[in-house]
Amino acid sequence: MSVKSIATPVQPLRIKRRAERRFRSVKSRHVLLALSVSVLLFILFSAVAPGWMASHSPTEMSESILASPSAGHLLGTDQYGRDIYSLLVYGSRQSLLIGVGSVLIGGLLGSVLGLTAGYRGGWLDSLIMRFVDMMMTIPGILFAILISATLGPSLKNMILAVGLSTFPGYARMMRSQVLSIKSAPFIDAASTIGASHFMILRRHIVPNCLPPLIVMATIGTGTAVLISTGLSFLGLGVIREIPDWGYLLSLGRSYISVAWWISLFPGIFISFLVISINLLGDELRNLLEPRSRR
Amino acid sequence: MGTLLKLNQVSIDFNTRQGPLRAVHHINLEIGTGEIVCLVGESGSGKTITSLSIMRLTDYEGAVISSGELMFDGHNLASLSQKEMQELRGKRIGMIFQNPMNALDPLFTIESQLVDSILTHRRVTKPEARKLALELLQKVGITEPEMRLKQYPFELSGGMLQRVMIAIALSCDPELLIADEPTTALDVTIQMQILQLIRELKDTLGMSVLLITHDFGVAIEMADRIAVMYAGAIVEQGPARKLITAPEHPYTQGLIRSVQSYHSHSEGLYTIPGSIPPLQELPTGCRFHPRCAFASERCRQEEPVLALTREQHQVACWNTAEAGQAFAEYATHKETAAPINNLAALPAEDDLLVDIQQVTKTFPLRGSLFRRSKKAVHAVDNVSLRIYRRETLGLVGESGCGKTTLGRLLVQLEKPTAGTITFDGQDVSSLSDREWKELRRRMQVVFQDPAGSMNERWRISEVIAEPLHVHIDLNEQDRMARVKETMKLVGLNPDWHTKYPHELSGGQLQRVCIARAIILKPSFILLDEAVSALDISIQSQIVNLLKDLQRELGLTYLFITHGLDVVRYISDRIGVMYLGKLMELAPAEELFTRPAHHYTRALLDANPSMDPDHHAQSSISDIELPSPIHLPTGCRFHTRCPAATERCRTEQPELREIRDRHWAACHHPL
Ligand code: SF4
Ligand code: SF4
Repeated sequence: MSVKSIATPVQPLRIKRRAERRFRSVKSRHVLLALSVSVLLFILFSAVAPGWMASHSPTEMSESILASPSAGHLLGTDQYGRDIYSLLVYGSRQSLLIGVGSVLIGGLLGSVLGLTAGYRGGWLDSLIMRFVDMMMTIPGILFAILISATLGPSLKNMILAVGLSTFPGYARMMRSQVLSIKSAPFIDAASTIGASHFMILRRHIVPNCLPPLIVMATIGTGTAVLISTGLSFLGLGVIREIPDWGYLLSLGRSYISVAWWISLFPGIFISFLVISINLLGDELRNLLEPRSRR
Repeated sequence: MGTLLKLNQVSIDFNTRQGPLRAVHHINLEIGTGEIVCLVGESGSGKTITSLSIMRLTDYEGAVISSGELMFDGHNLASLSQKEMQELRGKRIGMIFQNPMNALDPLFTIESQLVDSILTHRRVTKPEARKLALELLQKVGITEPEMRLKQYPFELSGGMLQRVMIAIALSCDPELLIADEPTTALDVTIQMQILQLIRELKDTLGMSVLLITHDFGVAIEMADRIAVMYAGAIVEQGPARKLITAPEHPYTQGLIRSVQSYHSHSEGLYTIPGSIPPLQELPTGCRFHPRCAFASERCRQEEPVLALTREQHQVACWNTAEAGQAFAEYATHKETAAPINNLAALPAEDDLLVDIQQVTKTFPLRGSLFRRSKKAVHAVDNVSLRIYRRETLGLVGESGCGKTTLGRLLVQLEKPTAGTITFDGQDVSSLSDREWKELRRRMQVVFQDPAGSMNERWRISEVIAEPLHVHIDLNEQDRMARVKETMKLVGLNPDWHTKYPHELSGGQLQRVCIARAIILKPSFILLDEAVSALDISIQSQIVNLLKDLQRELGLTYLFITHGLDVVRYISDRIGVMYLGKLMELAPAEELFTRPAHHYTRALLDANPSMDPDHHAQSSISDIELPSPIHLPTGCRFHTRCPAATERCRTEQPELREIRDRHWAACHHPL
């Protein structure tokens, strides 16, 4: 090892690689971003105005049951002869509702806890964080199963279950964010100016915590959808006339050998949604946190 | 004396998205065998990238050597492959950096890193390498080398780590040592020791040294020859002594004059107007012309090149004759100006503003989960201090002496463990929240890092207006009017209020911080290393501003710093702290001309001066600063004091007035 390699051990290489990566990926990144935005827009439209997007009514049962994809039924039909594509379009509202709703619950609860713990510090911090750690040791899906099993299947409970199972992540992220901002000199500056705790929180700390929170929440929406489909798949979801994506996936299970499309297409929709949300989240991170860009 | 390294018309470009950006332009530099050359420049001058280019580390920084050649003993470094460079690096050229902590691997002991380095460069067996490692540590003056070898980097102090880095650099007997700001992160007494070490090593080993620094004082201490860089070009170079006493380039002259004016008692420091232009916006012609007092039409059109003006002395300037003449006049004038005794001019000590009485602050160390630690860091120990209205009290000391903590206690960013602090008659710890908020209006703070002390997402106007939001109910219009008025007062263009912090330079940002501090018309401002991070030409501008504001607004300052020159210039009285104790307190001039405490003496001795005849020295025993957890008994300074006696080891000296208004805590004052 030469003096140089001791002196600047990793940095140069890292910079070089990073530069290369950036160069190569600029174009493909734009294509991917456009794709994921279209996917999300499609799903969003479906959720808002399914009547416009669907080709059939979701409750309409045609003669052709378990028909494979064709011009009449784009993605085939299920065992009742319902059009899979239309079912997916109508089911998107529920999936999105669960995703967004549970993120709101989990994110809000987690942020408030993390903010309090990080800013207050001391025993309250220890108390909250031990609690969060405890929750963290229980796998999210298990916890969600527990809640929906005890509360019974309904949309509200599903949102609650998924939300509660994801809040520890938000709490942890928020706390570390608050801690790093709290030690910045401009917080000292603000308190020597005479700003109250409330003012410091409102004007300095929360705005500086928001970007990573937004990013995390975006990506979290995807995760929440995934958890909710998992629950539905296990039969803990909401049983309604129109099945949500996860339930549809599980319905198709029994017919997988004769009608693979019933399961496959919901699966594809779920993956596309989650992947698109993740890509968008990454892009948001680049946008909102300029420092992580380089 | 042969030439070891020769840079011939070297240019370095950064690769950016907008195309290549010229960072260094047509540099010529020579280093002879056994010579110390100093490359002096402010931030953004290109001195560091130049030094990296010699090691060809520029390749890793996204920069290329776009033209010219770097001849090192017959090889053109610019055309070697990285592999061939690897042969030279560390073997024939060694390098040390500003921050040794980053350069050492925290997971390995000093010994293994040193032995590794020896083994790659020399054909020796492992036990031999171990022996060599020990010898090297002795050579660089590390005490108890056997013990140090077994330690990890975090267990060593900054000064010792820099010695280790030097040892690693020496492990293969390099012919050239490149030292990039090797002492900037160190305290002044330690800095002196490291510089001395480099000089000794150069003498005994006959190696050449390229020293990169922003500090003219260091350059004068060390250099045989000095090269001055400005905005990517060398503007002047020549033998050190002559360059300092008779500089010919207006930029060099400006720098030297501003440094020297700290020692005069003139009203206001000498400053160079403006600031270094960013690389993207280099002016045409001479790159210094927008800031130059001698600029003529030709300077705006044509770029001057380095030309010989006297023996071995090169200057890149069209009007050297005029400039040289002007400096000569200044120099004679300066010598005749008599220093004034400012004891009489001190502010009256009747109007007490801040009274710090026997204040102590300890930070308990965190124990493990199961065992509470009884140990604590004694940051401030039983300090009493008074600050009078309209005066500037300077507080100096090296890192860890407690000066910053004392300041933070005063503005209640920390709560004292014991003692009382009274501000304008009110005991600050007994105030209700509302009273305390009222008091906050009258005491403000300016911190060291201007960029860090403002919310980067806010506009300048919002930053400056923050105190108004907190304390005064104003409508938008009145608030903006106040903000703009204050911006003018601190020398900022009021039209900039919509800018964001990252659009301003360091000096401008510090003006923003000052604007924020004065907008409520406080009576007291704590300046915590407020000018320490700024380049010298900017620093003098800010110091002048602070002085002007003090006069206009009747402010009282507590000026905390490690910079001795600045504190001498700006302060009426100065307190010296060491390991949490106030060691000496005296009027500024008195303290600098007749220090009474041995520690103060050592500090002053170690401070590099602008006088080429006066060498800074280390009058301190070569022992590192004790840790603030295990404090020495008796006088805290006795482990390093050259005059320590038995009494010093056992009995703690009290602060007492040894001369008129001159206090010192020493049993045997000077
Ligand atoms: S060339 Fe002209 S502008 Fe440049 S330093 Fe000389 S006198 Fe000043
Ligand atoms: S008290 Fe003793 S050890 Fe301390 S500074 Fe004075 S002479 Fe030195």
